[in-house]
Amino acid sequence: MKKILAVASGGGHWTELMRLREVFNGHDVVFVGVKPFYRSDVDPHRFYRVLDVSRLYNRISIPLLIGKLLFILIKERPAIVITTGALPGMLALLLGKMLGTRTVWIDSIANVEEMSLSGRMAKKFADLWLTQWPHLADADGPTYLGSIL
Amino acid sequence: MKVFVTVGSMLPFDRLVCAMDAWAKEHPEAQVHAQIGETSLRPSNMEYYAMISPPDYRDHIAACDVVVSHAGIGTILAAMEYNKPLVMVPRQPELYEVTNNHQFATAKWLEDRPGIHIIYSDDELAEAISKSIGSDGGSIIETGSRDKLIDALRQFISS
Repeated sequence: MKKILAVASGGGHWTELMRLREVFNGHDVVFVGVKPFYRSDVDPHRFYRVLDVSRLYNRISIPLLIGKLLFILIKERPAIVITTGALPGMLALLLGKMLGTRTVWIDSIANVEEMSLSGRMAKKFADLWLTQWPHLADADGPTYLGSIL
Repeated sequence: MKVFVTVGSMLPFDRLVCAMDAWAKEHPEAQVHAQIGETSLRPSNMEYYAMISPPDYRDHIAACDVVVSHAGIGTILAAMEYNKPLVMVPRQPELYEVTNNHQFATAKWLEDRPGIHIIYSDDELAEAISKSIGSDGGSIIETGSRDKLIDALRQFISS
């Protein structure tokens, strides 16, 4: 059994993570989401709420978000951090990597034509760097191992 | 007739909210519920909420005859799950409605799927809604690649 931190922003990012929850069966999973009401989706697992930020939304809160993510990572000490994006998930991978965890980026299936900006940034610190579209995968680029559909 | 409008949780999408409020005024027979995000708009012809919890969200989708939304994956999957016809307006980055072009990419990917009407201008809204009402929704896309992804992730975790 491994401890896994599973991180997703709201809307589709969260829905995509929920469609992958069988991945965590038999492991100790802790969820991180951006809305308090997502807690009920993952009950009885532990759930932390972090601030929602993006390039156009609430950027000023990025330092606070980083602080909270560090707090969660240090408290929970996961072996693996896995995210379906976006910016909060990317920061969780970066901080996780700095603390020695293994990291997985799953780019949203919405990114049909190119990897998301957060996804491209995550390349440097994702042990598994995934796209959900075979046509976006290549030797230097992201890997395709399936999708949420 | 019940219409559920949903624009997601991050940036506002006032263009669609205004257009749907105007549509609701023209169609007093319709019951319109709208999730409008954090915006200063106060629609006067439909019930509205900034945010809706996942269980309430599913209830709204299940109860409506048509979903009108931005081109967000969460909404698309929910509409398909409940076989509801979907009228979709992609958010435009030029109008600061979204950070990049991915909603257009999503729209292009889904444009030929039954049950999904994609429109690019608010003028097409009324026609798209009346075409969608009573039509079948799309069903969830099952490509079999989900099991593959789950297996691959489980293998990575255990390795």
